[in-house]
Amino acid sequence: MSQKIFLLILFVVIMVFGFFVKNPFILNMMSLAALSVIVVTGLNLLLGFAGQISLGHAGFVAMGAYISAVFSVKFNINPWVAIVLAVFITSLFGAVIGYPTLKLKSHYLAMATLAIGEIIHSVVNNYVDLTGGPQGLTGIPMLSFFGFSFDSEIKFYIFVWTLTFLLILMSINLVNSRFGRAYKAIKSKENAAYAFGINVHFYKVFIFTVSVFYASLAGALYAFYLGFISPSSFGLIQSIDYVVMVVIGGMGSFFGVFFTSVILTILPNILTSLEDYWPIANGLLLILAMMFMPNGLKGLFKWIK
Amino acid sequence: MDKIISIDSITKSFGGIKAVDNVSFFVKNGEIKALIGPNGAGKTTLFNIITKLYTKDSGSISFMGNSIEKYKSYELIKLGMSRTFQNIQLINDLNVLENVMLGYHINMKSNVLDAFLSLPKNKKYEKEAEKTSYYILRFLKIDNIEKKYPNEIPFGYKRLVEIARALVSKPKLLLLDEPAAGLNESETNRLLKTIFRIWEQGVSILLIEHDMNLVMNCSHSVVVMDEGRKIAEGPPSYIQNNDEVKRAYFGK
Repeated sequence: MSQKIFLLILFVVIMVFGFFVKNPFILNMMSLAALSVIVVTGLNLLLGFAGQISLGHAGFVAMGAYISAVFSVKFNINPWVAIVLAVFITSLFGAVIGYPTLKLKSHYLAMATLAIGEIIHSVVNNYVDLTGGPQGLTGIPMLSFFGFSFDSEIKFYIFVWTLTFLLILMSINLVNSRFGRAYKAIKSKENAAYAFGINVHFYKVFIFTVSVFYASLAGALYAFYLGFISPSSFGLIQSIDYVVMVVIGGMGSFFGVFFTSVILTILPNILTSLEDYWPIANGLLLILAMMFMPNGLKGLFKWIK
Repeated sequence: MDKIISIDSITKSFGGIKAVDNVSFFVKNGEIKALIGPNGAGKTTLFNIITKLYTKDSGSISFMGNSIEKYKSYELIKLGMSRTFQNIQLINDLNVLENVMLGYHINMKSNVLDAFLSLPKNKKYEKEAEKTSYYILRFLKIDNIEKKYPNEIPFGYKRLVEIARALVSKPKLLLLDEPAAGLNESETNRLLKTIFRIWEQGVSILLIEHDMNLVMNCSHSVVVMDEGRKIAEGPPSYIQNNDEVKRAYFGK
């Protein structure tokens, strides 16, 4: 079965699920899961295909969320315009910061991206005048589209999942193009990649920027969906969670990371009584996956070409 | 223009050791030139300098009459220079055909937007790349393995796939880094025929090789290096009887 047909089937299943499930709690969780899928799909392009790690992606989600929310709340800018601006600014920031950072490799790249995420987090935490600091930012308006307001769970659910599938479709297209082949070459044989005419550094910065684009878009939608954001949602733990989702889903497997990010976003919400233990479970899951399933769930989706 | 590439007084040191010491030679248009020498003679280092993976300390290189000073390593393929590697550099996540298509990367003019949205331009170039790559595989008589992945094919085939990938961009100069290393006799014979067939298409070839049989049978001219220096140059028959060469290979 081709990837695109499977994606279409998955889309239909998700839509039908949305229409039949009336429980707003479940719809809410699924919408949040969609936002995770967007971030992780972007990170999968960077980590799974190009082989470059980022331990700071929650920082870019935070930038998307805070910039759009601040534009909207403090400067009264139209939410859609605020989202576009936030995504643009964050992506530009990603490109600028990615340029020097992606000259680093493996552990050094991990440390640098971790630092970037932490810097963004502490700026958000301490710039109280604009961001509200640790108290969070409230009063973010609801999204509406030419008078059509996303005032019920199902409306946002349909919107966000449609967008998610479009973004996955675009990623699949990219990977199946000459650029996808180039990134696979960069991932496994970087020196040889030069010989095929690939400007390796430029390509790395580009895919980093794309993944920042995905992250900031999810962040901005998150802000307007919940109406409230606080720095605790965008810490190092979240950055690591995203990496865990890619690794357990299987590096480079769109459907593996799709299911992993849906499940790993929903589980902690269901098992709220076990909240304190969740980081332990998550860490354990990562260790076990590394030991027994180094390819994650990739193998489960081998039949999709 | 009779020289496809001309290498002038190239020197490169690592620490205090001169890996390449004032080496000069050129490859004539339409020539098969071999670069030989004992292990550690500096052949691969010179190759990596030519392809800009290493920076040289001094000297100059010109390709088809123009200095390649200002070009980056990833721009050389556009000029018409492509290479293979001593240790196979096939991408395990891509099948044979896709690996060869990777060599066609720069010939495709589709941009990222075409790719993201799978626009007609993207599809057009994908088809073209597929067709050209398949044609090259057929030319090398390995089109039967197009759908296989690198870890599913024998070593000798991997070498040929590498050569196919270097050929698909239609280079004017092909650099082969020890193409016969690890091949058995029949595979080496096949390689010899392949090299001649590529040469017949008008491609100039510079190869590093250890297999003397192959070198003596296929090259028009041979450069011998030892301890970073060029110690001899000439037609295979001359090299075979050169005392310097004998000394470098067998000691006194």
